[in-house]
Amino acid sequence: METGTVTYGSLCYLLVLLVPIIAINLKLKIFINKKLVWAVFRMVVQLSLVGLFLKFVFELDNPLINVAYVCCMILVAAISGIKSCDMGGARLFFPILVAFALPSLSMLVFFNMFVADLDHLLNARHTIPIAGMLLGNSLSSIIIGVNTFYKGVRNNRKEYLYSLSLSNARVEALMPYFRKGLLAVANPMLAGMETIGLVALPGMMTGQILGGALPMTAIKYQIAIMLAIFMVQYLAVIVAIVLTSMRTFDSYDQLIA
Amino acid sequence: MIHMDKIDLAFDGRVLFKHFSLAVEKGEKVLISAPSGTGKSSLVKMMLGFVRPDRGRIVIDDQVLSRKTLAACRGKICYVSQDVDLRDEVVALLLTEIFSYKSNRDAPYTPVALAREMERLDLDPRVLKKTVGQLSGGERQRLGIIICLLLNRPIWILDEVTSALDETLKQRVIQAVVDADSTVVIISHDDLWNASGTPRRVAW
Repeated sequence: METGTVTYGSLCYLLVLLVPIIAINLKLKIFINKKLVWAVFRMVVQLSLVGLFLKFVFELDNPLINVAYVCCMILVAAISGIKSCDMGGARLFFPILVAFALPSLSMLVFFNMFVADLDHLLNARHTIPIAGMLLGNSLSSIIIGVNTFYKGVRNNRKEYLYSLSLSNARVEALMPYFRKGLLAVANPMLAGMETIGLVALPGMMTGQILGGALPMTAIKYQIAIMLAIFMVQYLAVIVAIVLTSMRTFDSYDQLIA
Repeated sequence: MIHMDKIDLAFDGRVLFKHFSLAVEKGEKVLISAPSGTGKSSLVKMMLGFVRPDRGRIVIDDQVLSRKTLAACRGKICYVSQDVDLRDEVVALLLTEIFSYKSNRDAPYTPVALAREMERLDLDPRVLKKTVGQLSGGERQRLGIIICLLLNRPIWILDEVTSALDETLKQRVIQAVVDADSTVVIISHDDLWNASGTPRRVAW
């Protein structure tokens, strides 16, 4: 693949373009410059380190190292997922970890085995970026789904208790909020799928095309990855809500905190 | 049917119940009247297993209320709250959902029975096509009572269920309750319950 057009120098041009934005922020008293500089700095450093590290990992291409790398990604995803969930707390670590790991890993193996049809099931060039895509998307969907679910139960406490008295089964009484959580994740995804490609080319495809791949190759991968992401997100939310709710309700079916 | 034995309950450091006991026999109708904020709704929540007393024992139909008997106990009680806290959905859909719950599948719910109860409480059939949010307070209360009548559970707990009804409808609801075989706990400020002569009054 030929990627010669972006040099380190040309990246600096883009950074220079931040200067007017910083000036505008100063002028308009929008106090995000510190945050902006810090975010850009972190992005550059993080991606550079990842780049160096991936270069090393790709050269080794050792299945064990690849798997270990994916496990680290899952761990980081779970930690940042817990931080962003209202319910929070260490007691949810295991449920959230499983919600990230189970759907993403299953899909990763399936994808590599049947879709990408790889000779080496866990080769670095596929495993790591695809796992990243799946986990990154799981992160946002788990946060949205779990938060929507618990917000629904908390804000409608009387409703929930009344349903509970009518059904006397927690699962039945929680079902409406569960549905809401799942829809909060599925609806934007389906809307995104409907319009994909019409306005903006998705990031992965853009990257592939700029990197020199044929548009049709990029499109095939894009379709495959979209489907994979949708399924993983959907399942991750289900697993996250089901497993966390085992720890967030007491034996009298009351939401704890 | 309902036995509460030496119940203690404190909420945010405030003592609501201290050695409180209450016995409601089978088929009995009991009217609980007490000033607001003195724990009436906590009492109901304890009976339903939503709130655990700090001390004491609750027995529902010969079963001590505990984690293990929770579902069985709740299944014997039909609770109607003042605002009838149903989700803001189309009423007909909600009714279908409620009567498709596993524990309610044996309830005598048929379109005919529904129509009969709606007529008895003067509830317009068009209500079925509205969403809960579109109903008036009185319509909601009647809907809650109709659900209770159709669920036909042995114990009813009615929390201020006549507050938004006019005199005639109040009388009809009271008559329906008095005529029922179920054990009924009524929480109400309404003097009409007293006038009907049937419920035993428990006050504090």
